[in-house]
Amino acid sequence: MLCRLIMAALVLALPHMAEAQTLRGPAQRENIVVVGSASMAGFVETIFKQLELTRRIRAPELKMTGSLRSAATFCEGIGPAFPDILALSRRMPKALFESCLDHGVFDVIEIKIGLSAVALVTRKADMRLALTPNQIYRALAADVPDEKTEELSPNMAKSWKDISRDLDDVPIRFVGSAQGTSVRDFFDDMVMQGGCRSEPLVRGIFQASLRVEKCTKPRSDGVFTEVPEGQSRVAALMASPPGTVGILSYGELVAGGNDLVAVALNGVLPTYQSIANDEYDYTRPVLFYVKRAHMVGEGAAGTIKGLREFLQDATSEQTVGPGGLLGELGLVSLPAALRVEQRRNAQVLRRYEP
Amino acid sequence: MSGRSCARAAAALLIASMSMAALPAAAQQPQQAQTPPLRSSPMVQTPLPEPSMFEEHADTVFSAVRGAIRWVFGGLGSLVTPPMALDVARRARQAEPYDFSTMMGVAGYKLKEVESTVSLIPNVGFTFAIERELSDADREWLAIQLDRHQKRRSGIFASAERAIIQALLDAQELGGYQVEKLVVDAFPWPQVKFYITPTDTPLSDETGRLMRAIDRVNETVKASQPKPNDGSTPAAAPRVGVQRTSP
Repeated sequence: MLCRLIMAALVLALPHMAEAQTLRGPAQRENIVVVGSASMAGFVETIFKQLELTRRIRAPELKMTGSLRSAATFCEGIGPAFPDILALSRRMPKALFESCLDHGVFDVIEIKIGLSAVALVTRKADMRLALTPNQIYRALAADVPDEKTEELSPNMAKSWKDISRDLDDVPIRFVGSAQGTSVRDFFDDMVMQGGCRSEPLVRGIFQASLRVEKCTKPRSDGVFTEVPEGQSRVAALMASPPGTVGILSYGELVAGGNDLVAVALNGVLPTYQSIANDEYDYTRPVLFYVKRAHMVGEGAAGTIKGLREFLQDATSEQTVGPGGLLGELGLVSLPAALRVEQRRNAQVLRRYEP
Repeated sequence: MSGRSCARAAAALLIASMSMAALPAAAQQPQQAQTPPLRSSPMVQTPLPEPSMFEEHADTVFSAVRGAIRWVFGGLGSLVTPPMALDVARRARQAEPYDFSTMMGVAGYKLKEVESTVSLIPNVGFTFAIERELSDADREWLAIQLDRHQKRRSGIFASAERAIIQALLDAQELGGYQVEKLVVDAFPWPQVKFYITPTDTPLSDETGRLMRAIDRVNETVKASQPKPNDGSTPAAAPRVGVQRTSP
């Protein structure tokens, strides 16, 4: 009799065990997998370095393959085969979230930790510059539209006066980090692509990847000095000839204190107020999306340690408050009330609703 | 009759008479190959009503047409004369940052055709065609612009504009498909038509023939290139080619 009961229980439990195995996928994993926009990598790494130190959470596996592809991968399913965190610089579109729902990814927690901004900066002793993104693109891109030939030709501009008669006769020089770093990618996305968006010759290129390359490839004739990763961009700017424009994060501009002066972009200077009030165009939100089902204690797939801790740390005052850890990377804090709201969302695991 | 209404009625009569006079002349002209991006069909075929009725009707018709065009191009509503396709095209170049056409430009669509029929039942339609694929940065910029559009412009038309652009964005983000053409009919019945096609459609017969012809020209040019006697590599032959800009 007892044997029959055990057998019956096993028969009833088998489908559930199989389901649980399907959700777990082929293998368990210990570390968190983060996907997202390449420009978010710095923020993710900094938060996880802190988590590693304070809570012994393993370093994550980063797959920063661009926002659209990453969001699609994130939404593919639940289980160890799929990412846990999505880092984006814009809200997840409704259409993509619907694809999440189609794949059984129901509970996604969204937290907005702040705003990032890129700033163009000169030394205090240099002339004051006020530029437009199009002027910057015309000065820095390797190939620019030539009105005479109506083709993209190698950029020969030497002085800002060559770009516009209204600008000073000062040699064009830029200092910035390599492609793949958050500030540079952000600059390429917002300023360089923004600057060439109005160029009919570039607009005529249908293929996005080709157009992006034409818009963002910098000159290789000495006008642009690339600062190796790990070296200070501010120090490189201070050591550069007069008139050099540095491509920095807003945080670096603030940290530079009185030695640095911001360049007005489209007539607006990057200040805490102009960024927080949405007046300065070259800002974007920093957002994380976390799968609730992957958190420990949240059902069969809930086996990934550190996700709750990530949410707590990513919204803490020490990380995102004024003068916080991410401030050094140029993160502009949200207003106090919004920070409290985001912290609450992280605590109660509030579900994202587009 | 007020002076303003009188001017409108006079303008309408003038246009109607000009278009009716132009029709036979146009019929006598030999047909030329045209690629008209803008089309205007100022046809008034319905019998004209009594002057007072006409005045009233013209007022309604033109204000409706102006309203429809204002929806697409912002500031066009101040025109006194009825809007013609060419006026619309001219104004489109001076579009304001948050106008529908500007937003469509950011979304990768270009105004291809304006169709306006000025008659007792007028018609205004705008055709937007895909101009380019959006990059990640373009999508981000568009999302920011939509957000600002929402803050700056309220009302049912502004909401409709945002809904159209959001639909285009969603279609692109789902992958595999794209909205190749969008037709916005503003009057008499507001409607929006989306023409969705797979992104990897094969080349049409016509395009295929064109590509093969270009290849043949390239081969002919290459074969006719004189070979140097000194054994050096011949200079690169000029190549004829097209870049496939749209699937």
